[in-house]
Amino acid sequence: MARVTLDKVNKIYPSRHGDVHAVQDLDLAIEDGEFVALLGPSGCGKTSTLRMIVGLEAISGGVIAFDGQPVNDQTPEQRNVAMAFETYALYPTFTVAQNLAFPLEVKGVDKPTRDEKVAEVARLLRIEPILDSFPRQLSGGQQQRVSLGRALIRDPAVFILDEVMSHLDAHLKFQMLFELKRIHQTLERTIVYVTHDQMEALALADRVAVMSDAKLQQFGDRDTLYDRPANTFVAGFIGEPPTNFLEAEVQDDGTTMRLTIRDASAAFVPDGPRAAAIRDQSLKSVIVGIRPQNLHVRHDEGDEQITATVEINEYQGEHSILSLRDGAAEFRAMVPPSVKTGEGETIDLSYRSRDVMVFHPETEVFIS
Amino acid sequence: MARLVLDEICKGWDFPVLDRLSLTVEEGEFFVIVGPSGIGKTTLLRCVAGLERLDAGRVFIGDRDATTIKPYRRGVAMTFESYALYPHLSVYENIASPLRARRLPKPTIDRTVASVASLLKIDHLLDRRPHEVSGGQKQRTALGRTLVAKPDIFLLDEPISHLDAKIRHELRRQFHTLEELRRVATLYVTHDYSEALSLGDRIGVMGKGGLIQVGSPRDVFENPADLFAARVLGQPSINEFQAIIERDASGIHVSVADGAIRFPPAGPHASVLGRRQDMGISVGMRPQHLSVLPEGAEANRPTVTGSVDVYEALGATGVLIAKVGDQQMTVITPPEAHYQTGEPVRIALDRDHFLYFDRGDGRNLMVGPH
Repeated sequence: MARVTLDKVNKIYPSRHGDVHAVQDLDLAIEDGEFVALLGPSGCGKTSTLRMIVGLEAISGGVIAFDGQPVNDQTPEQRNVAMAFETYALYPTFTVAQNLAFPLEVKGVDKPTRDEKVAEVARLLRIEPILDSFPRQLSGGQQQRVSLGRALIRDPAVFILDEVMSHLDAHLKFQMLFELKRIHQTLERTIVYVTHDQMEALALADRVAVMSDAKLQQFGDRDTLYDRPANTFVAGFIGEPPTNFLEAEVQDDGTTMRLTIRDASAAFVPDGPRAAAIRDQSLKSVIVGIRPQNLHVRHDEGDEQITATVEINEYQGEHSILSLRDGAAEFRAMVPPSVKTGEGETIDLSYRSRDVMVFHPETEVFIS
Repeated sequence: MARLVLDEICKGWDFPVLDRLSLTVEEGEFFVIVGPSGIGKTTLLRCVAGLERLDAGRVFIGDRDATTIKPYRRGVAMTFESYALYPHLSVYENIASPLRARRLPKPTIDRTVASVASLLKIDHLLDRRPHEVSGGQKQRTALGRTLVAKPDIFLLDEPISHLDAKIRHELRRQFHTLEELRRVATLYVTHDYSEALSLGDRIGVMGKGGLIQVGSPRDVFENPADLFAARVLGQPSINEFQAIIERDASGIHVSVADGAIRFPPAGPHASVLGRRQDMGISVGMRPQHLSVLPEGAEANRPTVTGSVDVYEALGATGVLIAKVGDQQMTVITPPEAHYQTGEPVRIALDRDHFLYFDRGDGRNLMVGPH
């Protein structure tokens, strides 16, 4: 068990095109037993961060500490960190039981203890029936479980999972999400989980650290990231389909405020507190953010409305995604699959004022 | 410009991956094959590309029988899930390689690479080598190299599966509008059903040996040919229950788990189910056709009661797994809702959308001759 803290951590890779600053002044405090996800687009520095925590990569600047003790100079073995990868990396000539026992065998643990630990991990991961099978006889999901088991069996202080689900089928992934959550609740072990998939991160982690451009953008739980994103990057990265961003002019007569979309006819009405915040900062223009899920075809009491033209109606089974245009503005709405409005037709969409997010036009910071 | 015709192609003998698979993809058509991993989707593409030898059957590209033509003379361009980039060449040189092979003038190559790179948002990486870019960026480089090739047939193997949601949605939109793709025949394989439904002019659900069902996205999702096709499309997966049909004076009822779930089926379903001699069926309920009723709410639909087993708030929705009798029922909830394990819930059944399958062969009882 360990509390993991990163203090002003930097990673710089020298390259023939000049230095690449992969991680910049990263501060992060992961509590003992907490499940934290590192989330970001490819190339954001999340894998470099993880490799520094594990000890596979030298730290260019700053301090990483486990339970307050700096580990910068420790080897991965000394840190007692276990890692499972995207590729399962199982030994093909070993059975599942032998694969699981191997890390203990290397450490010189005696056979009765090994057998006991293998049985315990197999029970936790529900892989008892396949202990005598070879990796090639297993499905992808089963192999992934064995790979997790092999990391777990070492009883690590910190458990690190690198994109472990990105090659699993959607259905399998869904099962594994619930499974992994259950395992964490049983073990109460510190877990750092790296992924580019926001759905996985939100579903699994107690808190999610969103990274972009080598920097931490926001560190918070699901509701915070979803309802109060720090900036347009976080708002755009969390949620699927991504949030719509529209540049808007502020029109305000002191009582009602309208945010008129630039080069378009639609205007959004923000709720009271947001309008007040915009007034406080005396902004002439803002960036409006509205999630596709929050534009409805159903009209409820008190909803505001906009009209747009459908460019693409993408049927997705459970719902459809409309790509819409209003003047020069393009945005998306998520609607029930029964909506069959086609290309070139206009559609009325409703929204609630409190679902209108507003960002500063230059800094792109969330205005609350 | 050409259409692609597969005529009873076979691969593998004892346990054939492809068993007399026939398919025509028209010129200008975007055809998506969806199926679980390991089912043979990549093998099918490799057979079309000429990288695997067929055991039987023929491949036609336009009027040409391409079955024995060498891969590089077939006029196909393929992306590989493993990217297969040249490690010693820059991103620019990787994308330019098919253009250089055609000996195009340098300004044309520069222009083409620049436009595809900006489309795929990798224009700032053109000088880097594959090992200096991330996995998602490698995937886009491989896609760029395929897009510039101007083939008769595009073969795309999970080209956007490993990208984050934001860029995936951007590329999806581009797939809808890209001239290069919309002009020729494209065969696209994915395990992601929403990608298939969103992109395909038509889709094919692949199961053991070949295509289980071919049709428009809406038709396949709403009227799956069998339980397998119903399982492949939809997330979370469709709820499946073994049920029996009960008849009494008030009409027929579908009953699951000794009546823990019991309801009269919708009119059109009732007439088909009523004609069945064998009383055992499977009923399929998609999670979005089940909803948790607020306390005290009137339901104009049949309901069942259960308790919360697991609840997970995802981004746009929540997923609730309820215990109903000895059965588990997965339900989609609105994002604002929060539930505690053990909490009692009442679930409304949107039975008009339920699916009914033969318990033996799994075929959809509402499709085809009753």
